Amino acid sequence: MKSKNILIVEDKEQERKLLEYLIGQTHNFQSFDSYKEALVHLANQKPNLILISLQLTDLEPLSFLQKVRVVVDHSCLVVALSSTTDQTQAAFYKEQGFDDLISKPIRPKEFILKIQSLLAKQAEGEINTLERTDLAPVLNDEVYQQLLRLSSKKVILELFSDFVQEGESLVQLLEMNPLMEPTAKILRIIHTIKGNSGTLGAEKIYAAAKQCESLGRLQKTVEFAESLHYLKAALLEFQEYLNNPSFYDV
Amino acid sequence: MMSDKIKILVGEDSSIIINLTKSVLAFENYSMKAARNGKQVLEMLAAEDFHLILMDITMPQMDGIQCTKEIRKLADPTKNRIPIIAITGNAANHTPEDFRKFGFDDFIQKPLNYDLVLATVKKILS
Repeated sequence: MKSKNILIVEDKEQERKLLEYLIGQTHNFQSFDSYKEALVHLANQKPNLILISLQLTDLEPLSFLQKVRVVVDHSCLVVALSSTTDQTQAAFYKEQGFDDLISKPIRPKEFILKIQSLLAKQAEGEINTLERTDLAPVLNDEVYQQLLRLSSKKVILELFSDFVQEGESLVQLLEMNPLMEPTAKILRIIHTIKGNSGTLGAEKIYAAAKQCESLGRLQKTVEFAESLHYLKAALLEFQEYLNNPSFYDV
Repeated sequence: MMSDKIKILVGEDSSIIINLTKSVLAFENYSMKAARNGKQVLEMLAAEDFHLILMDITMPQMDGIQCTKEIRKLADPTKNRIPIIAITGNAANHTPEDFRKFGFDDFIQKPLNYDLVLATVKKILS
């Protein structure tokens, strides 16, 4: 039985036939020679992976990607096929939201291995359940001592206070979004909180934010909403930790 | 004309990281200015000379990779050869070779370990 559903979007007939042949060995596929036709198909069918050539001209590839993301969530992988081998361009397309970029000409063996590896990672993500993040320490003492050594206690305490405020603004934002959906704005704030908490040694918040971000990017809405409760609890616990007078005796 | 103090430009959109980095660099007697996005980095670099840039990859308006590419294209050799260290929260997306190709001299992963930040700055400036 063929396991996954793949959508192929390629306007060059020879290249499309090669992709169909390679994918068709192990997976179901649908193929189109324009972005617009592919979008019509996506309104009703949700593939596991979309392969799109960047050379099509009926739409800009990035505009196509945006439209794809409106109808399919991030559990569907979108892979660009490009005639460039330029790593900078590959990185650019990844930054823009493509899950990967494969260079043309297609080398069959390499191509099949790549697709299998992407689908395996996707399956791993699918079984990724909520892990416990509450076992991490509230404040990593090693990081805190390092910061005290390289800066001053006054500055560090001010930054902790700024960080608590940042956390409070996230909590307020979440209260305005009771469905707790991973919107771009919420994910941006969580990403910032992740970077700041890790750097400040607020380890429990870091672990919770990291998990929220990864579930949010996968659009795992149920697990994401649950992970936000851990994050909110970790933010509150950090605040209480700072409010404890004994913290300032050290 | 530059003063004797080493001047570092930091491109970073988190004010917490900006303030912490400023404090740590000041402790080491470096002078630091901050830009909130890639466009501001370019503007500040055009207006002033710096010895080194610490550049966050993820910034609004113009990200750190695009900004670094723009800097490497500048006509002024004192500007286009400035050492740039990437700061990245998603290093798994890029290989060290990618960072070199983008034009960075080195890269540091977030969460920042400031002993490593200082060691990398010193290494690049030496």
